[in-house]
Amino acid sequence: MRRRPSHGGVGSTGDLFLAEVPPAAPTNTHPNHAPRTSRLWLALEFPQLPAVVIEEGVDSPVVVVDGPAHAEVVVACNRAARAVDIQMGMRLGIARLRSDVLRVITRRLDREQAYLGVLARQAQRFTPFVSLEPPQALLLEIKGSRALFGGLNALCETVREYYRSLGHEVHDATAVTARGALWLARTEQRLITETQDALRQHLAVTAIEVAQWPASVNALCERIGVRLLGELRRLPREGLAARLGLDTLRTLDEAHGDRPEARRRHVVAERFSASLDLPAETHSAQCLLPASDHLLASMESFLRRRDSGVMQLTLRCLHRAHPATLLRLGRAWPSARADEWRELVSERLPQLRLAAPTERLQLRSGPCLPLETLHRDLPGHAPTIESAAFETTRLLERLRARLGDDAVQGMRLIAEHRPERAYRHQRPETSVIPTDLEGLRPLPPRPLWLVDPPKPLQLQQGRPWLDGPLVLTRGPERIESGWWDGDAIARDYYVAAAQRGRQLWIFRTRLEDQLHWFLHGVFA
Amino acid sequence: MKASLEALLSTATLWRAADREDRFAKTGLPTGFARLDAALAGGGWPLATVIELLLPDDGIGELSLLLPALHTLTHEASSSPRWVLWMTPPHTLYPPALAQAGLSLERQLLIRATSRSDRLWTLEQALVSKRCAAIVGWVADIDGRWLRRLNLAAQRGDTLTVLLRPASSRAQHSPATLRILLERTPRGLDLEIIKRRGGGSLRIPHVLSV
Repeated sequence: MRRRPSHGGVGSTGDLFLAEVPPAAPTNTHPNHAPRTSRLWLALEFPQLPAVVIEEGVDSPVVVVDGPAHAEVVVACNRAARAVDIQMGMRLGIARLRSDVLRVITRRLDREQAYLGVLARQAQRFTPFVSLEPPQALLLEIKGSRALFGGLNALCETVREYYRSLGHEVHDATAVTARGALWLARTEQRLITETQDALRQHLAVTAIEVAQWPASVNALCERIGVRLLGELRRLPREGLAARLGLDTLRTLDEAHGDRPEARRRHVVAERFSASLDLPAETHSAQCLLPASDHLLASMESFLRRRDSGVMQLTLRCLHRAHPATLLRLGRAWPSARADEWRELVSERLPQLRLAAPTERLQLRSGPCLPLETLHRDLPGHAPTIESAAFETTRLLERLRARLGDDAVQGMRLIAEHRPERAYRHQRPETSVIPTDLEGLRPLPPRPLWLVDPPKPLQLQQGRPWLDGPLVLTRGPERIESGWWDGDAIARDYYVAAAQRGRQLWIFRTRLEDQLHWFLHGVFA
Repeated sequence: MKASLEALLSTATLWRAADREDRFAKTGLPTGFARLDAALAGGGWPLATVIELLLPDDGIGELSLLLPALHTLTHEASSSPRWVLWMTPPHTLYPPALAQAGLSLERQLLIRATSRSDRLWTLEQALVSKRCAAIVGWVADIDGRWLRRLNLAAQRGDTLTVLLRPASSRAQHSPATLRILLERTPRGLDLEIIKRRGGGSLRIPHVLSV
């Protein structure tokens, strides 16, 4: 017998989930407590994106399929296939019946993802904040762009027309939450909403399939007789969490604006490039400065429109019948400002040796990077905790990207008596609470430089010698350890004074029945 | 004449080199060595600028000189801790000794960069990120242009920025605010301050005694 979760359905398992269920939505009963959203999202879904693998201008029918073997479904097709009545969502077997010459291509998600990046770059003409929603949607934050395009409806119309002119079918919708906009877009009704109330009214009568939850969730909803998102939301939350899983509940909350959703901004590697003919050919690099100023000014306005900066740029002095002379400039933080770049250019340009008269100056920037809020902090203001943590991660990422993982390390102690094994390098973010390190503090002083492996010392007149006699000033400290793993040591450590007042850490050990001295550290 | 001179001296825009009560006065980080603090304009290591330690040889006490200040920095109360970045030390930096000096190891960041350009790039990135409380870098092969660049980057934050260079670079011109030549003698470590804010050169014997 099916049991609806609303009446006493929460048994012992329900209680188990109770602790983990996010706090109930403060929605209908307390409308004043609803989070005040300050964003507006335009969702763009590209249903024909899987067709990216079909070459253009093919007259015979081609379909792109996805799904398990022998149960493939058509996810995209070309015009010729549509002409013989092949439709999206159709089983491949049925599609084959409609055409003898059907070409079948397997879906390539990697190609679609790359193409989504291209679409995202194009979307940046409408707003600087574009977020990818794989496999086939984009989310544009358009609150600030509405006025520029003459209102919300005009903006949506412009975007739609833009992609249509490029040959892309697009389903769009707007809402105050990103996920809500995405779900509305999938209804293919071009719903333009601006308030949370309007969004919720539309979602309430929307079929649950727009959420694209796993098939098991959809099947379960069908079993309990739920078809619409509104019906689902009326059910008790604990029961939903127990039966559908917390992930499902989370997306439901995000769509309705009961819970904020973090979205990652898509950073597009755009570059600025422009060139300028000089009024007269010139031999002097100094004379190129006015032209470079002009180019830097246009770069600044280009970058300002994108809310970005660049870290590198290249100036090319183009000569007639001679390879170009290059000047490469770089800085450590992204800047859009022409005056900041001019400072560098005016320092380096006059030193440039021109092989021939220059007739044309070209400027090409490195990839555009977002101007981080931290760099806009007013001087004297401490960065916020979030931006500080962000900067820490970013610093480690940058260092690793250029130097490699092994070049960036943190350190920790190990409870181990053998000195060369008493520490370990690790990823710097790994914070390890030191365990069992007692007995470490009372140890005699350890040297700041470790000589690894230990360096054999000469003996003269029976005394250890390094550019002169070594005078033992402290010791011995007996370290005997490691007999259990075949790497046993038995050493007597001493602090020794060397020439010119250096303090060394040396030890004596017995090898093949003879005493040997080794240098193991320097007290730097 | 005297009146006009006094009027000139009373203007706030005039900076007097001999005046210790200038805007740098409060910015020093105590070095842990009273005689050295007394010699430095801010009462300690200047922050937000490059400090050069010139070494005739490795392992003569250059790290011990820095440990008290690093100890202070790794225990700064902050919601988001900052790193102490060690840039390509010439030998194996021994963590148990750092722990003995009271430094918290989870804030130490060890960078090993092989090429000169990678080392300088890393230093600059670390400075502008403002996520390092201190940077200790071995850069034997740095030139004046890069020193200026790093000094500019250092001015954007308040990092203790110490570059260790061979004593042979003493004659080179440098934009560093503080340059100290270290010298090991049988009785301890001698410091020769070559350049400092608001003062001339000075020799401080036996800062670290044996």
